[in-house]
Amino acid sequence: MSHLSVIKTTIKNAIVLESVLNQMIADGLNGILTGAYLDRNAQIQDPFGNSKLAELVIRRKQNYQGGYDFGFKWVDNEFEFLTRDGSIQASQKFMETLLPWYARENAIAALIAQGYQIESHTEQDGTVKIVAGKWV
Amino acid sequence: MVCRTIINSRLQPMQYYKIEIIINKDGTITEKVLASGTECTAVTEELEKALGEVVSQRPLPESQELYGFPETKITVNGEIGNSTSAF
Repeated sequence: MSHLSVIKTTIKNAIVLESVLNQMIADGLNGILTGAYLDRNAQIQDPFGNSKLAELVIRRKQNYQGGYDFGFKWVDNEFEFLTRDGSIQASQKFMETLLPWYARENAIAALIAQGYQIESHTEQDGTVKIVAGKWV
Repeated sequence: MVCRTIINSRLQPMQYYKIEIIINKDGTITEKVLASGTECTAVTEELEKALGEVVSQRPLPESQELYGFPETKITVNGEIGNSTSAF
């Protein structure tokens, strides 16, 4: 029986996440990530100012509009995004960019890992369409 | 036992599972799976797990095609009409 599913993207794949974060840093994200770099297993402060150990941390230039670091900590089978208050606009823009980017890279990685052949991959007006298939 | 397993598996006809994944601007995903039989959701369960959290799922009629998939569209003034989703 054919079916249709609506899926909320959750960030679970550390390899894909790290790859996308590096691509976003290289892109600069309109100044939000200019001069930033990626740290692994590093301390980051959460919105309440508490220090936490996160698997991936983007160290941002602190002179950018009072910018704060962005971190991803593995909690309950997915990565949780951490940042301090004071970087709301930057963090919103960052996550709005990250989610579809991660979703695309992760979908391609998951399809290939599970033996699907990708038949086509098109992008139009910010929407991505991937068609794939496999014999079972 | 091994031979029986092989014979039984050969009796099962293979089928092609075709998947269309749409990634929206907000990062949500719409996944259409086209296949016949009852194993459809089981086969794609691992993929859906890897993509994220399934918010909703509904069966589609067997006859629907991957392209030119007919959808019911409700217009702003509440009229119901048919449209074709094409990329």
